[in-house]
Amino acid sequence: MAVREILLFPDPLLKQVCVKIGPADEAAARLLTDLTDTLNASPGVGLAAPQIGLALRAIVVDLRRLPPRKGKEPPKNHGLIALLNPVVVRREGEITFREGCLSIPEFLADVKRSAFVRVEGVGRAGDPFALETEGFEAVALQHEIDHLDGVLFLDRVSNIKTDLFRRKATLPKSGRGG
Amino acid sequence: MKRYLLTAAGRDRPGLVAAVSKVLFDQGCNLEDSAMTRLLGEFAILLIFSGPAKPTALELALKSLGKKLGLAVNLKPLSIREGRPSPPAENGVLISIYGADRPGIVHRATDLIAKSKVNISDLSTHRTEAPGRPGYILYIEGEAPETLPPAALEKILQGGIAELGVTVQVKPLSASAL
Repeated sequence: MAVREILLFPDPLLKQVCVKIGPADEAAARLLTDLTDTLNASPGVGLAAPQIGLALRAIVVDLRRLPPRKGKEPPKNHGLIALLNPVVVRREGEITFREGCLSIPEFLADVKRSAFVRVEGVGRAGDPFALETEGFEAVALQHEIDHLDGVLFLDRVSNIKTDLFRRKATLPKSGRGG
Repeated sequence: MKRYLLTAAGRDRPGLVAAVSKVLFDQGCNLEDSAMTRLLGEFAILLIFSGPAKPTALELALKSLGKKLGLAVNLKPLSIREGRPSPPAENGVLISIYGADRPGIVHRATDLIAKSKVNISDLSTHRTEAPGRPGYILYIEGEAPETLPPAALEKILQGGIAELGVTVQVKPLSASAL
C-alpha cells in the first residue's frame, strides 16, 4: 500500500513520452497497486504512472469512484481497470466531455474524443487484456492513455472562448477528475 | 445612429452589467458585440453598441455611473469603417503555449506571431498555482496568411521560444458545423 504524491502541471515529467513496460513482473504489479492506492485516496476516476512520477506505460481507471448523483444511474463501467501498455486499437464516433485532471486541478476543459474505444493491454498478471467501452469510461481511458504520450487535455482544447474553464470550486476530497 | 466602444472595469460584484446596460438602454442604445469577464477580482467590460449621434447625454450618464460604482469608464466613438465586422477568417489558427511561468512568454510569443503577420483575434492567459511552481497557459486564436500553414507557424514559434521551456502547438481552427 503506497499513496504517491500526484505531480502538478507544469512538472516536466507530465510532458514525457513514457516507456513500455517489459515483463509484467513484481515491480509492474507494485506500480499498478500504487496507482490504485493513489487513485483511491484522490478525488479522481483515473490516474497514469507519469502523474505519480514514473515515465512508464501504466494506467488505472475506476468509474465506481464517481460520487453518486441523485436520480442518476452511474455511467456503465467495468469497475477497476488496471493496465500496462494500453493502446486504443479501435475507435468510433465522437463525444464532447468536460474533463478535469488531477494534475491540473484548477481547470476543466471541453474535449472532443472518440465515443467508443477498444483498448488492449496487459493485465497485472501479464495476461493479455482487451476491453470495449463507450461514454465516460471510454473518455477516461483516452485521457489516461494520452498521459503516457505526454499529452494533456490542454493540448486538446480547440476553442479558447468555449473550451477552457477555471473550476468554480476547489476540487473536493472525492469528486470527478482523472 | 453611431457606433461606440465602451470599456469599463471595477471591483467584481453583482450588478455591474445590469447597471451599465441600464444606462445604455435608457439612452436608446443597442448592444452589438461584447466581451465581459472576471479577471481575478476585477470585472471588465468591452462593449460595442450603436447609439445617439450626439453622445453628450450618454457621456454624462456614464460618468456619473462610473463615479457611483467606482468604475473606470471610457467611451470611444467609432468611425463607420471601425464599426464594421472583420471579414471571416480564411486561415484561422489556434496557438497553445504552456509551461512553467516566467516573465516574457506572452511578449516573446506575440512578437514572433506579429512578425509572421498573424492577426490575433482572441487571447487568453491563465496562471496555475502548484506550490512553488507556478504554471502559465496561453491560448491565442488568430488569422494566418495563406502562405503560412499551421505547421510552419508552429516551427517558427518552437524555434523562437524553445529556451523558455514551453510546449507550443499550432492547430487549424476547426470550423465546427453544428
